[in-house]
Parts: sequence; structure tokens; C-alpha cells
Amino acid sequence: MRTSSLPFVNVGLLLILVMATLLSGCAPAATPTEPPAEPTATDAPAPTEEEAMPTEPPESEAEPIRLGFSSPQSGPAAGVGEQQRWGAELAVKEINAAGGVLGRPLELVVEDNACNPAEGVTAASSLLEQDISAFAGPMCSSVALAILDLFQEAEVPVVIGVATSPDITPLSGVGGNEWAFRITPSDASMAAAEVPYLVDEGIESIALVAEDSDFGRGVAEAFATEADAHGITVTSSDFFAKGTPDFNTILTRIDADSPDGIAIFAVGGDDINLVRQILSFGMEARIVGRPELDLLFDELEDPSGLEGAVSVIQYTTRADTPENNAFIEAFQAEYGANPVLQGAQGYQQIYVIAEAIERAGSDDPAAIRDALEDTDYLGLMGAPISFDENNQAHPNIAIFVVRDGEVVVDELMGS
Amino acid sequence: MPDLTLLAQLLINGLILGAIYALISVGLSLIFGVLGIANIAHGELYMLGGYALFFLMETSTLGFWTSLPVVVAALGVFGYLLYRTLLSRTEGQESLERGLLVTIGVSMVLQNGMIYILDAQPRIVSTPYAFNNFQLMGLRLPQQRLFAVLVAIFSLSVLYLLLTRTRLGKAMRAVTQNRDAALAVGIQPGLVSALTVTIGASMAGVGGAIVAPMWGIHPTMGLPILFKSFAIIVVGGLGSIPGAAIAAILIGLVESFAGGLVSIVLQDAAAFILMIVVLFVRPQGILGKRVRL
Repeated sequence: MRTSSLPFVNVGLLLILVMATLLSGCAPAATPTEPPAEPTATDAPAPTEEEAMPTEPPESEAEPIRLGFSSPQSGPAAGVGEQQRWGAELAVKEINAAGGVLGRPLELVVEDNACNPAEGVTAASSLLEQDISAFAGPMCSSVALAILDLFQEAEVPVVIGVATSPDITPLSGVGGNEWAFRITPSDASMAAAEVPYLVDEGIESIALVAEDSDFGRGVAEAFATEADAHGITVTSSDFFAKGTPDFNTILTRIDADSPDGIAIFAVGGDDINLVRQILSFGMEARIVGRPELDLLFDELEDPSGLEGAVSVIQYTTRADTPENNAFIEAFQAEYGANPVLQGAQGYQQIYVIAEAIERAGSDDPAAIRDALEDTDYLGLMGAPISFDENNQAHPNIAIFVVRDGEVVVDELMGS
Repeated sequence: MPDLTLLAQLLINGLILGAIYALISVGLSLIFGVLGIANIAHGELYMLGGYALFFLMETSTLGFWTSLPVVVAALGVFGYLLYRTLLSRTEGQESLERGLLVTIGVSMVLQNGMIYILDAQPRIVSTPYAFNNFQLMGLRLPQQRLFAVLVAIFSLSVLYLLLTRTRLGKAMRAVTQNRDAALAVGIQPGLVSALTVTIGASMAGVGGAIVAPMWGIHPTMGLPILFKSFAIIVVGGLGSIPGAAIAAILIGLVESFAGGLVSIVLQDAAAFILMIVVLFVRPQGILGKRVRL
């Protein structure tokens, strides 16, 4: 019987309990993140002649060289995770069609990491039990930070393609994890490229708004450090929970400080929502940082308010190099969609590994690791990918600007 | 010292947020009062309202304003069916616990069903007003937000009249106050409950529809608002309609000033900090009566 003299407390506590359960169970799903360009057609076109009749078919008896791969295949980041897998699979297909590596075909062993450190560790452990020679992945910085030690212990080389957290750099190479290599510039290098550009544009003060995650915190810190060094005042920093609906309260405060720019670091749906509210609030600050301009131009009903926005990105289909044009064509033929950053990085990760195996002359992980150190692979953005003492590559990055209502690549520069 | 314009702007933002919260939590409070059920699926009714508006505007010639009555009707029908098929079976002994379990199930099915049928991709609901805003003496009022507030005030006024001026409203309040006595004087609790869920669902649907053009829609959009609404009805006093409305405005204001003067992290926590404080200081809530359940 209910005879408690304080029934309200009980009901309240029960509700708290239920809410806590729902929150812990569902929180990640509350922030759908979709790829900048979700492919519309998933049915692949008919096989091309090239793959139907490979010029040098690998010996059918030759044992494949197994490469491990993980990216988010489920959860909010699944869309872009799939792009990275597509890129990797396209590279494997091309390499096999051209005779494989060391006369043996490559085989990609794929696992899902859901952009979640715990599932990332499970996926990595599972891959390590499957006799892989090297690993490509895992897209999200928080997963990369969680799994690098596993590969070091197992002595299997890792090539990171998308994770940009500056924390990964000091952990890799000399004095750290000699098995980890990264082909994407870190957030620190990207901020170092963007901030001087903003100074040239006459921006003197900036407010930071970033998602509360390893990515958001890392990139905002890197940006603030760089801004400090160049005499830009950071008027405020806000970190919002992914999936936050309303930004008007903080926009009100930011607007009261009247900064020249508002630097935003958000992904997918959050990026769209934040920018729409900035525009509908009628702020005069220029949108800078890492807005996903291609995505915003696709999604916003009226992108004219984005005029003057600046962004920096490590891959763009707009980079006009022979390598990139060939890649875009092959990618479109295979998947009926334009590659985004993740697709391009997945593709380059596999090529970097394959090229190292070729030079190593062996599928032995240690030999591949040694060979990776001497990598000199011409990247899609027109600059060679090779590693410094922190196993960090410095490929080209692009400064995006919205000018006359269009996204243009203002500069393609080294990182 | 923050200047007056900033404070005035934060006040406006807070009132807007509060009015939207009120619209959603009043329905939740109503259902709790009449049925004794904590409706965990309320956030999903709000989500369905947003999607209903999206599909109406995408697939028909209806605009934002003309779609709203259709959303109200659609969610009302959905709420009625929800009561008749599931919620009616939870009444009686232990209705709170059984209601919790049933509505958690409904919530999961709706949320994941939406992801299954469509996808988890967030969608923008475009209206012609999206980027318009009124400016006066340095204060800004985005047009879409103004509309949201007007709709919220209108809906709450209609509900108020319904509760105070109609037999149905009186019956609803009677069941809230004393179910057994209401039965004794000939009120049919089944019908009253069904209409309560109908009204609650409609209001959640309108809530989802008015925020959709501002915040976008996605299948899990109901979760954060559900938690906030529970905090609001606990602060306001469980089952108290005016309490929920007052608490909603209060929490809207607290959030606005917390986010505007301190940080967005504090803004997210504000509703729950307030709820915990109220549970300690005044466990029955602002307007709650200290009755036995």
C-alpha cells in the first residue's frame, strides 16, 4: 500500500532514475550526425571493364594480405564512416585489379567501431586476432586515442586517416607509439593555416563555439592557442552537448561582445542547427572555424547569409590535381556519390599501406612499419604524404571561403 | 556588469523558451494528473509533431500556419488510439509503474521505428520566416520564435478555457483531485482519460511543430525535452497544470540567464539543479498539494 507521507519525493526519485537510465542508454543517439554528402544512390553501377578483366590477375592460389579496417558502421556517424570504408574498398579493388601487392591480393577485414571508444577497442581486439598485417581507421579521435596502445602491444602498424585530435601527435613516433602513423593534418596544423588567413582578413576578435567532445575540445584549444599567438582576442569559449537544440542564449551573450568572427566546430546536424540560429539571429560576426560549408550550402534554405565565411579542410573535391580527378571519377562510378573527406582518406590510407608493403617486400607487420617511415606517396591534394619524427604527415589543406554566394578554395597550402 | 540590452534580450529569450516548455510540459502534467501515468513517450509525441509538420509542408501545398491544425488533429487521433490500445490497460493498482513500463516501450518503438522507416538524419523544416527577425532598440526577435510564442500562448489559453469553462475540463480536474469521488458522481473516467491523452498528445505535437522550423527535427529530438519536461512538472508540482506552466517559464528564464551570463553547460544543468533544490526544499513542488497518491 502507498502510505508514504512524501509520495512526491518517491515519484520524483523514480523519474530521476528513469531519466538517468534513458539518458545513459540513448545519449549517443541523440546527436545524429550525417555525412556532408549522403550518397543518394547506393546501388553500384555495373562492374567496369577494368575489374572484369584485370590486366594482371593475381594468382588465384596466392594467399591474400589481410588489412584490418574499422570505422563507424552504426550510430550517428555511420554515414561518414561508410564513406571511409568505401574509399578503402575502392583502393583495395583498384590495387587488386592491377595485380595486388607482391603478387598477392589485398583483403580488407572490416569491423564497426560506432565512433565509440569501447566498441572501438572491441573491434580492434577482434581484428588483431585475425592475423592482419596493418590497420587503417578508425575515423573518430576518441576511438583512435583508445586503441593505439593495443596496436603497439600487438606490434601492428596503424595508419590514421581522419582523426585530427592534436593529442595524437605527441603520442606517435619518437618517444611514443612508433606503430602509429597519421596522414591527416592535426587540428593544430589546420588552425595554424587558418588563423593567419583570418588576421589578413582583418579579424581581430573571435568567439569560439564547439561541441563538447574530444574533437570539439581539442580543436577549440588548438584554435585559441593559435589565435593568441597572432594577437586575435578570444572573447568567449562555449562547449555544447551534441544535440543541443537551442543556441540563442549563448548567441545573445556572444553578440553582446560583438566579435569580428564566430568560430564554430560542430558536425552534421549540430553544424546546420547552430548556423541557422546564427543567421536567424542576425549576427554580424563572420562564421569561421570549421563550418562544413559544402554541407551547409546543400542544406540551408538560404545560404546567402554565409557570405564571407571561412573554413579549412584537409580534403576537397575542388582540388584540381590529376590524382584527385581520377579518384573522384572512380569513386562516383563505384558508389554514385561524391567522395567526402572520409572517403578520400580511406582511399589514401590503403594506398599508403600498400605502397609500404611493396617496399618492405613482405607482409610482416614490423617490416611494414619500418617501410612506412620512408613513405613518399603523392596525395590527392597534390602534395606528397611523408611522415615527420612524430609519424605525422603534412599534406596540403584547403582554405574555403564563401565569395559571391559560392564556396571557393582560396588557397591550397602545406600544413 | 552586463548591460541592460543584454539582460533584456536574455529576458526575452527566456520567456520564449519558457512558453515552448510550458506547451509541452502542461500536457505531460495533465496526463500525469488524470491517468497517474508518467508518460515517457511524451517526447516522441513531440517528435512526431515535428515530423508531421515536415511531411505536410513537403508533400502538400499547406504552409506553416495551415499545417498546424492538421498536426493537432493527427496527434490527437494518435493520442486517442494510444490510450485506447495501451494506456487504458495500465489503469488501476500500480498504474504509475505499469504506465512507466508501457510508455518506455512506446517511446522506444516510436524512436527506433522512425530511424528504421526514415533514418537518423536531421532534417530542416523550411519556412519563409526562417531568417527574418525584428529589431528594436538593439533587441532582436527572430520571427519564427515570435510565432512559436504566439502559438504557445494561444494553445495554453484554449486549454485554460477548456479546463475552467467546460464540463469536460471540470471532469478532468475532478478525476485529478479524487478519482473515486469522481466515479461516485457519475464521471466516466475512461472517456475523461482518453480525451486527456488526446489533448496532451496534441499539445506535444504542436510543441514539436513550432520548434521544428527553429531547431530542425531528428528521431531522438524528444529525449532532452522529455527530461526537461519532467523536471518542470516536478518543480511545478506533479499534476498541477498552473504549476507546470509557471515552472516552465521559470526554467526557461533560469536557462536563458545561465547560458547568457555563465555558460551553456550550466544552461543544460539548470533545470535539473532547480528540480533537485525543489525536491529538497518543497518536495510537493511550487503548486503541488501534499496529498497521498
